[in-house]
Amino acid sequence: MKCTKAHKLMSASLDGELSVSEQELLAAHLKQCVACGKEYHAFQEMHRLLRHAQPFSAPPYLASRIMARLDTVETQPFFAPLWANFAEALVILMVIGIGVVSGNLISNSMGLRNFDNGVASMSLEIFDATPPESLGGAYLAMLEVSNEK
Amino acid sequence: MIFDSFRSQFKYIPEAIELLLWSNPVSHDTPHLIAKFKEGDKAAFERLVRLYQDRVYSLCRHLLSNAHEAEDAAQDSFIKAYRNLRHFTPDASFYTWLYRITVNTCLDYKKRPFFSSLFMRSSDNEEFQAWELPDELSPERLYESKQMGQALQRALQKISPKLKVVIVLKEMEGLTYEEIAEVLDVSMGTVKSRISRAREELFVAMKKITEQK
Repeated sequence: MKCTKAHKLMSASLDGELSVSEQELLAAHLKQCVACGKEYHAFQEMHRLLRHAQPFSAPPYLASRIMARLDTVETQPFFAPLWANFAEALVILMVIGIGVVSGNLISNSMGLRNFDNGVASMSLEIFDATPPESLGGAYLAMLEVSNEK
Repeated sequence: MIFDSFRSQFKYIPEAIELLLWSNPVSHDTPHLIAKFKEGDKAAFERLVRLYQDRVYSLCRHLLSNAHEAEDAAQDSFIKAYRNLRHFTPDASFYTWLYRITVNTCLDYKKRPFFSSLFMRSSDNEEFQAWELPDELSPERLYESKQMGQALQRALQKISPKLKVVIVLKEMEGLTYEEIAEVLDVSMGTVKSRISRAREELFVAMKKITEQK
């Protein structure tokens, strides 16, 4: 038996899955091959240790915590999570859409037909100019004077 | 007064009987509890939790190696079980179904954001795994076994989660090949192949760890 074949049988041997003839062939190979013998011995040690890993006990409060959490959990219908995710996106899209449409309507009523309506709905051109006698108008006038200088 | 003394000695017996029943899920009527739960009896689910919490928590600890994460994962597993129990069919084994939920939950925990792993050394998350070593070992042999146990514990953190799951289910939880195939929803051939690869990877990892020392 070659080492590659022996490697394939080692794991099954540990679990008692080999036939009698396969077990004998493997045993014969392990006697003559030092490397495979060492590896199989290491496999056996790992197998023995893992089997003797101490199991853990749940903390005494675990069950109570789980039941307390369940009190706040309602069994949801299957589609609820999907709807919840899509609902958020739909609401956002609706708000944007309403903004664009209302901007369209405003720009149409203002007579800004030479603009692209979509652009006009987001443009500041639709607003009236600042009255010169207002505080904002005086500020703009000051800015113009300083720019000319 | 005599009656009080009599009563005080026996007040713990009902609790002891309950503990005995709960500690052995095989003998307890799991299908009956599931049926009661489906009829709306939430207390039946609590009894299922108490029956299986040790096994679920132990599996989470072995897969995640961290008590805090294992608690969270165990809680999440039972909550998922609660939500889906009404779909559970009696022809399947309850504990392999529960184990499947637990394994998937733990694997999700392993896939946590990449950046959280950048700030965590591999040893930060490890907790000590105790091994039941036989008393009749010589002191030298006992020391060797403990050293090997530590190397094995570190090696388990280095193999891929997919391979770690099969080796934990087989060696630590004692499941058969068929049960593991049912838990993971794969063929038996795949289970055997993964166990073989897991052992080889563990062997290589342990060799590197012992050589570094």
